[in-house]
Amino acid sequence: MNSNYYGSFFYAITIVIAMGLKIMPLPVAFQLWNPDWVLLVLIYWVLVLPYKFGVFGSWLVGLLTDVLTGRLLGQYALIYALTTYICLKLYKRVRAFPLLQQGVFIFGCLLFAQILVFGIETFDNPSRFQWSFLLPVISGTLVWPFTGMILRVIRIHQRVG
Amino acid sequence: MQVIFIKLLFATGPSINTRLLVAVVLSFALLVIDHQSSRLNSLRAGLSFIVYPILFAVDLPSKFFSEISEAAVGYTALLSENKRLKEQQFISDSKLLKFAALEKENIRLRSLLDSSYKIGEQMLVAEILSVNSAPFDHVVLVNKGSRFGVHDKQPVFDTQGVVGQVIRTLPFSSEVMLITDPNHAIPVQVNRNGLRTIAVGSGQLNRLVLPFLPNNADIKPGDLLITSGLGGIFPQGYPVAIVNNFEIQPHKPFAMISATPKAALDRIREVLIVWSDSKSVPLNLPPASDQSKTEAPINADSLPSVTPKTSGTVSHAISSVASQSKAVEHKVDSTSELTEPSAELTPNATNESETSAINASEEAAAQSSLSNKRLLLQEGEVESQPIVDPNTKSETDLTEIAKARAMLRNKDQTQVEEDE
Repeated sequence: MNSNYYGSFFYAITIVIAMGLKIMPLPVAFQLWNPDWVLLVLIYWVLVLPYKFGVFGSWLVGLLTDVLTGRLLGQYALIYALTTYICLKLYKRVRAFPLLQQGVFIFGCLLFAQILVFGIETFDNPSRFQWSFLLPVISGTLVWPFTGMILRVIRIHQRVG
Repeated sequence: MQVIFIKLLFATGPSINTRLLVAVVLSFALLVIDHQSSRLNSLRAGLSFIVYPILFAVDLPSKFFSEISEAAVGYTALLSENKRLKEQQFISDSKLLKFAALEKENIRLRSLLDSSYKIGEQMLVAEILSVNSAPFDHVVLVNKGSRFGVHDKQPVFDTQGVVGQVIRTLPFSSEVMLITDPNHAIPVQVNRNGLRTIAVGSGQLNRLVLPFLPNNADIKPGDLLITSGLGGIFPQGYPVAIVNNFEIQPHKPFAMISATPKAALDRIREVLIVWSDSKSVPLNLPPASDQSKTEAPINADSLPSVTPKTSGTVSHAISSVASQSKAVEHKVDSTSELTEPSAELTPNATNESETSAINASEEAAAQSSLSNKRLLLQEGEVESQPIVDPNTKSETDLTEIAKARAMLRNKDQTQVEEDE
């Protein structure tokens, strides 16, 4: 039981760090490339520990992200819940994928999320689609192997889950 | 470990599809409610208690570095800076001396015109948190929120000019939309000749555009744009931008004009959140017995007795921050006592409220609207009929107002007051 609490605390820490990275101030050139770290970390945990991370957990994380980034309440909650659902449906296959295929899956997830972000922000405040809006998807896919590796090392080191 | 596997084997509860359905429905409900109204602000405020530490932590490194660089300044550099600042202080102090006299003169002249006068702003220094919440918006977070009495639609300045306006407040922080945001527009006038227009944000931090001026408009590069006071959010007369480009487009009805904001929007760390009373102060009030004046009038006979108030309200709000969770109302009854001296708002806010920030309240305005003929022009339509208070409907009043209006028109700089 004790290790369980420790584990929950541990996931929370990784997600909090991801949130910090998401709102990190960067030079303008890098700003457009800043991937959705929270979603990456959530996808990792859902794929690795699907019985601990569910739709509601992601929904709550998304709600906090909404408050953090000052978006409409429910925007990231909806997006993270939907992405988590996709991951929960496919986690057995994705785990067996080689790295390249995994990358394609992650790319798909991030693209889906980013398009939804654009859709909801347009609903709030109509704007023109720019291709630079999809840069975080590319950068997110590129950093995925490293994120996954770091989280895996930490997880094994801390014996979480 | 055992517990988890048993849970897995005998998994109960709603299926994953049901969970998703509930989450999606909840999200849509939240989205729609948040889009339509501000009813969810309490929920947002509650959640912001959880995420504020993250904001704080992300802001820490840049704060730390700026403090380090401040600490590493040499002795001679500090000395020269101190000298320069003292000179600057001396100059601005002497300008302020003149300002007090000019203000009095302005009040007196306006009383001759039976016009109203607007005075007094209170300010609060806030620090910009260096976080990036939305990559495509020009919205910054500042570290003062509703616990300091900050509320929506408050103007935000720095020492050079207008920065933006508060668009949302949370208990510990508030979001400020910069004037360069593409969704922001600010009513301005050219300081040289009073030409009024609207400055729209361009999405670039160093550029505003003035899209609604004809090709023959009397405006040229170098003109200072100040707030016109129309619209009711920004008080009148604060510098906004300097026109830097005027391009005639012969084939189009409007000229292409751009301006550079006065405020250093890309470098500022500290901003001033301003409380400006949107009500204009009625003149020629009968002098009330329980009201004291903060400054001795120049000419007691001709001077209108404005209801002065020392700014104890904001400092009061700050002193009670620890105990009260709700935002403290910054408007206090005019008839309430004028006891509290203007205290310093924050340790680093030195010169905010001590310059006799006078605040007129709604009650005073409402009371005196009977006895006063106030000239009020509707916002946005300067040349239209003046709005008269519903209380002053008699024909004599109307003719007098028309007379006063004609007099005002004759003057070069028509000062327009707005009222709700």
